[in-house]
Amino acid sequence: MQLIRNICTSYCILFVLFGSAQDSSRVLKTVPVFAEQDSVLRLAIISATIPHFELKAAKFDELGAVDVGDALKYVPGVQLRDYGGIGGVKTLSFRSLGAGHTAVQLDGRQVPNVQTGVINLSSFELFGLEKIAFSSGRAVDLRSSATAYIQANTIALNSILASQPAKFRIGVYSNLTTINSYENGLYLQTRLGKRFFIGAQGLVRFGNGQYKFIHPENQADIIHTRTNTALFNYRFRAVAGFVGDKNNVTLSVFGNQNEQELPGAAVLFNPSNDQKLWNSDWGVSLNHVLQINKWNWQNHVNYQDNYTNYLDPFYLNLDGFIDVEYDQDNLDVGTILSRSFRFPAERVYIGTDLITSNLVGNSIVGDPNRIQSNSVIGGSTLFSRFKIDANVTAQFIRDEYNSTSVQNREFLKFSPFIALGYRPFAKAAFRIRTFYKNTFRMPTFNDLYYNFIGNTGLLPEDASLFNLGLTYGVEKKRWSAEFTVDGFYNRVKNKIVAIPTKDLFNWSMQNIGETDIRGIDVGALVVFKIKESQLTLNSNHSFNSSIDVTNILSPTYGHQIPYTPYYSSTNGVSWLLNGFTFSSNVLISGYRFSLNENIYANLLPGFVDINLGISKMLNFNKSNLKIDLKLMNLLNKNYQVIRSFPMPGRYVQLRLKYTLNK
Amino acid sequence: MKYYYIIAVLLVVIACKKKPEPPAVPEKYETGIVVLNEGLFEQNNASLSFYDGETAYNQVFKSENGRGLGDTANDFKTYSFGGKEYIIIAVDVSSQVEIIERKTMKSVAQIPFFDGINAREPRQIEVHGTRAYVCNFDGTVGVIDLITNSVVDLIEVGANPDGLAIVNDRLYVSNSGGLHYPVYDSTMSVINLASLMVEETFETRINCSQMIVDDQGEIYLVSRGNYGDVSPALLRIDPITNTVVETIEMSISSLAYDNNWMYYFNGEEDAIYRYNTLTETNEASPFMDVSSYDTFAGFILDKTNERFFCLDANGYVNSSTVRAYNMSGEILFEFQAGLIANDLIFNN
Repeated sequence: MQLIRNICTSYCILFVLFGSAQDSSRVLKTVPVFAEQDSVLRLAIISATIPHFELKAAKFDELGAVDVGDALKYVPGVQLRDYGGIGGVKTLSFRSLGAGHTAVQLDGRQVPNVQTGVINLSSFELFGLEKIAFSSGRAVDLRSSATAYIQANTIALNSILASQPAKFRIGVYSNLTTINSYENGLYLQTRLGKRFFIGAQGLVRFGNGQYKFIHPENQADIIHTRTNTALFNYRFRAVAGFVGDKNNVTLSVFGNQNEQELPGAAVLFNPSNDQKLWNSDWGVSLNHVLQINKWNWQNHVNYQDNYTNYLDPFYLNLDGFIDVEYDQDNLDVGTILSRSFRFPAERVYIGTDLITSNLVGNSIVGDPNRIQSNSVIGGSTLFSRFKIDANVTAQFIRDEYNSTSVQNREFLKFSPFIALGYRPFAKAAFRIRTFYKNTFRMPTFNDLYYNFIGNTGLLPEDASLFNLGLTYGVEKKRWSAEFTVDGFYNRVKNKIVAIPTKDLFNWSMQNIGETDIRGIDVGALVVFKIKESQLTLNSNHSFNSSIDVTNILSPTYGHQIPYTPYYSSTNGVSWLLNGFTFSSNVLISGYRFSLNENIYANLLPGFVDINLGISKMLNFNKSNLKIDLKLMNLLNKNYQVIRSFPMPGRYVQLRLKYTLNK
Repeated sequence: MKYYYIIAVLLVVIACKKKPEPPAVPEKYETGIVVLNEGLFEQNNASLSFYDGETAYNQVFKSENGRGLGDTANDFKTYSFGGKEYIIIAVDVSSQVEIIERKTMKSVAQIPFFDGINAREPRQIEVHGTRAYVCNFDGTVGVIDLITNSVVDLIEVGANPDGLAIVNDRLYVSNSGGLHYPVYDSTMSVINLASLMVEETFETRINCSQMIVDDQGEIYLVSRGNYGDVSPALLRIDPITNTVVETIEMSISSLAYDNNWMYYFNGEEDAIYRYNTLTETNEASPFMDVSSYDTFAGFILDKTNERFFCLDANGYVNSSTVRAYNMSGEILFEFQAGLIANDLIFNN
């Protein structure tokens, strides 16, 4: 009954807020800065009241990216944790809030992972995506369900299959590299009569993934080879849709089969790596949208099953090997109701999701089961030149697990968000923006229930985010430009970290740690039109001071936290001429530390990653072929993003993409 | 506008943050303290530090050899041969035994320990005559000829051996089975050093590791228990009959021995205690209180200079602190070493 009472309490609070979140006033026309065809390479959305970035297909093609992680590392303020190589894990942190504070949505569906709380971004291919959006503060996809509003940062992926084709469309894709990794993909989508459409997509990734490298801890003239890197992965997705006058329904299914070798850390003098990983995932989701005038009512049911099998065939234990399996189930049912007013972005919304998840597997104690009720209420409006956007979420979680008897633990957490935007001059696209969000990350099943280490007494990790920025856009006859400057201040408390308790053999997850995060992100985009050619320049710079303020007596008090450069930068230049595009992207990371202590022994040097590309679009009747040739990591340095995981050196990537739109 | 002032200040602060400089190297290693820093698993940051009485020099192995020592260095010992002094180091995860000159830190030999492609994982070392005995976590003892610096024999013992002692020309190997949870090993293998054969294997107690030998030739052995309902214990072993003659359940680790006293760390009491090996009794009051330590990681006696050292690993993630005390427990000096300091060698 406690469960029901808590849910009711959270609803009551939400409804009180709902009542006070009404408005209306004059419409403010938005000033379009770029024509659509110029904006395909744009990154920052300057009209947003929050840091909001979008990468369209043309942009991520140009970056040479193959997965979502690769593409997002060019977003200012993002640090991609990249373990390198084919199929390596990629997660991101934005302004020092890690993957546990980042939600991933595919066509509005939140991708669940209660075991680690982290979504591997290399498991989302870019083929078949129209757009990636990254936002901090709140989710920006209008299809988002209540759960999406909880976390600090959101990655929203829009697939081609989810939208209705004119008649039918086909995409064929092939990607080849000189580091032995390959991808081939195909999608087909067609309309069935006036109201229905159906489409499917398949992708295969494979290769032995081996590459040569120089180990940063060994002599520079010794060439090593990264081995045990082979991958075979195929993915499938199908979407069927109904588009009615008032009702829209989509049904989608997906499957993923993955078999890969894990190269592990590049341990000095010990090349033996023989671990393997198998994943088998599938899911189905059903969405319904009812649109009556300005009312919009969305409902969804999602089910997802993830199976993981890890094998270390040679381990010095009793069996002589480690073979572990995990199976995770998620069922998510939700509804969200919204009403728009003078224009689509002026709206109020209220919604809730009920999610049940369970995990069984070796080394997970007590077969934990989690029930969540996630609710949101919010709205956005304009007063003259003043924009307000606010919401509050309530998350109630109840975990049941078998200890000596069945036990449970409960949390109820609220997360408020408010953003304000102001345009002081009617004619100039100059905006001031600010947002505040207080959020948290729930302890994951691994944090709570992992053998020996897990601690069922853990509390959620708290994070506060504050941003204040300026954006400016200017459009002239021959050129146009956009600028953003954002200062941010984040504070993380009750950080969930593993620490040794009694000795090196006894570790435990604890709520210890506080981080003070301050910094500035600066970005500029300039587009020049010179006769028939177009030149796009993009430069972003991030300054980030994220210091450990856990304990003033600790030797690391005031030290920069691990894997966080003080300075990082992403830059791009693209020149479009006679159907050819010449492009170069430069990613710069300052030095970082691999552990809390800012000493030489923990220093990871900065790096510069440059790629050069040339692409040609061949246009046919209703179809086109894009040929893209890229030289990746021009400087040929095996830099380390993560200690002991050297990246591939220089390599060539050739990509062919054929698209038919009818 | 105050906000932009803050931004400007912040930019200046960030710009002024000093990047740490590469460590300096001492002129010589004749007198001072060599510290073995284990480093963290898969971080490739095992290292040696050297303290010359004034300055602590970190990363001296890397500075002198142009490469890292490797991953997870567990143990080191000294020996002399042909008028030269050496240090021999077991580097577990890199699966190498490294031999360096004691007074230059230059590598002399790097001996790989692999079974095909699989790492054997050297853990502990004992030197006897012109041979070094290395227990590998894969259940073998490697015999290294220190004249040729090559492996001359490999002897099968129990699971995950983690302690060595030499008594009466016999090598005692404690088989921990530490990775065999929940079925730990509980045996000791006895190797005849003349024949290099396992003469006997006898029962001890689960999860045994470190050993010391007293002046009467009795062996004192630590059983770590199962970190749950089986507590750790001290075992006393008679090497004539090869039997456990006494088992004392207590929290015990980091053994050191000198002149009929065995020193050990009691993790429950956060203190160093002494045990008299003649009377076979524990001293009631602690020898040294180390409750102020963040992470106690080792106790080392310096018999020549009549002092002892305690190691603080500072949570296993920060630089360790090495503290020197006189035998009355008064602090003499302290210095910062590398990550997870676990043993010391005194260059005199």
